[in-house]
Amino acid sequence: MHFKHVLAPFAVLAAASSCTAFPPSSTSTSTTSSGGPQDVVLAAPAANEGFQYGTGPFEVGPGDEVQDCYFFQIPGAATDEVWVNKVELAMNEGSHHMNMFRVRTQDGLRTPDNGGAVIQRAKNGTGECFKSPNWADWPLIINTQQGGHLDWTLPTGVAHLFHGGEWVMLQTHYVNATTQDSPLGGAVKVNFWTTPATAVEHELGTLFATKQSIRICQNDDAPKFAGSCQFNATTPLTVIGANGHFHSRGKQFEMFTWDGTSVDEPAVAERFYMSEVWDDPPMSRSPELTRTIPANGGVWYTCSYDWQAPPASVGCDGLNAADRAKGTAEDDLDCCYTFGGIVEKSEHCNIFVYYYPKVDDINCF
Amino acid sequence: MPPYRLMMVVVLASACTVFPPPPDAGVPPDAGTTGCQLGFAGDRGLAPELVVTVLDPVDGRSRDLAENDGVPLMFPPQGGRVVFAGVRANNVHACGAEVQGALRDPGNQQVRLDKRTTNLRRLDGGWVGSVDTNTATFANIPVCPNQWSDTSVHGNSYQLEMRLTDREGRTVSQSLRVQPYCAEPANEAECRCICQQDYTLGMSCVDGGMPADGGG
Repeated sequence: MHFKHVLAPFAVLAAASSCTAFPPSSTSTSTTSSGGPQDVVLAAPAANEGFQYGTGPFEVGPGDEVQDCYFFQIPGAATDEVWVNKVELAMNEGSHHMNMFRVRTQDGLRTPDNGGAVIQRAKNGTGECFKSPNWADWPLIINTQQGGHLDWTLPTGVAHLFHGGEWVMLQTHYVNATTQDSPLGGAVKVNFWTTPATAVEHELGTLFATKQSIRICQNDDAPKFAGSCQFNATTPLTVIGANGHFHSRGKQFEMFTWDGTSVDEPAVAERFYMSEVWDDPPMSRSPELTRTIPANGGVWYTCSYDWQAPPASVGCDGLNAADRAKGTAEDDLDCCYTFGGIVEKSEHCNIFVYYYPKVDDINCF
Repeated sequence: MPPYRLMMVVVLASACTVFPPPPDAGVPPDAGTTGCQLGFAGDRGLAPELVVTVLDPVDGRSRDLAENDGVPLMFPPQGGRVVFAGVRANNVHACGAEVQGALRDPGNQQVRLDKRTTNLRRLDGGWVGSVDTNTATFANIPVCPNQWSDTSVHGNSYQLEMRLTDREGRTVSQSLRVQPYCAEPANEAECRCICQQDYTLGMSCVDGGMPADGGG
């Protein structure tokens, strides 16, 4: 099989899903007069205190995975610096993830001022919002993997920096199938609370890393993958937020502080994140998480899996068909889950890390 | 393959028991790895042997690496550029082997690495190794975007450090000086751009390969 044939179809399915998950502080899902749940509600900040983005409620049909991309602009003039030190999120239960990115190179996904639509919908793996190369160099802003109402106030003096008019993309992913369900359909609200520049000492930076060539197969049923990603910083940094993302075959997710030069897995004492719950992963965050990364160091992460038989609606035939469509040779078909954004059929190994002071936003593929 | 490398391979291979080996008396058959029936390749009484390989997009096949060889930077599913570094090995267990590859900048000593467990495949000559049609059997070393090295990755020298540990704890490693290069003409300009020293995330890489600040 020619290698190029392997890669191109992969790109179509690869989705850099991630999901931030702050431990839910409270749920804002309310109830209807008849007692049933309704879409999340989240009061917007006052105009002089911040701003809100949101998606209208939308349907997630039985058996569907819906992943939509919404474009928004940061308020203000281009010369305005907008500092954000608190983010508040509310999502309908059933969300697989919500990610926000800063827009950079535009190819398949374009902003409204560049010929794109404000809302770009995708379903069941089809559509530009499922094609992760479209946001390969878009820095992470925030992510979550849990429904409900969550908020995160950054440490004193730390804030995200935006500029007025800057485009950001909010990506929602809801699953209403075997592995997860979305009884209410989808809805997301995000509040950005601003702070004066004079109150900011450090800009927040983010790191996103993913392993693409993962493969969890019937005859290699307990694989473990490890990777690393470093900050190009000559002084130590402080990690204040982290979460990992995999799908239902995920067994254990770990992150460690790392010196940037060693090829041996760091000691357990260096571990600052662990998740064993794929569909409700913790987000370690400040003030509980405050971990120093040495100068020129970074993050070492691992993803461990247990192969499971696929849902009946997919079956090994379905997995093999998806694998075959990526160009995999017949001899290599083995009821494998490979990298991709479709929860029922594929797996992920993605990390989301928040740190300061920012040296750059970092992506490691 | 250059004659000296062919000779090395022949010499190494000739020292090994031909695969498949006889059943392992007293050793549970691949316990813990459902269905992996590959067993042990070679001779348990001999030291493990390792040849480092790299996947090449030109023909989709892997080739053995020697000191100062070029290694292709390839466009993987998610974006960026990676080196797919593999192994051929003997006197190791083929099931659940741990393959680790790291690319080290000899200047600042920083490394980019990938480690994974995988079932190695039976190869000609009785050895086992990474499978050309299955990139998950190669270390998938994430090299670009280059936010880690003091030099531009394309065309410069780096140290490739490979290590193989089988499920029974046998470890063999090898380190080679290599020169990564952008290997796919269709997107070479972008490759050179994101692999350039001092690349920052979001730089525009669509205009001839020289980064320009994307702003914003």
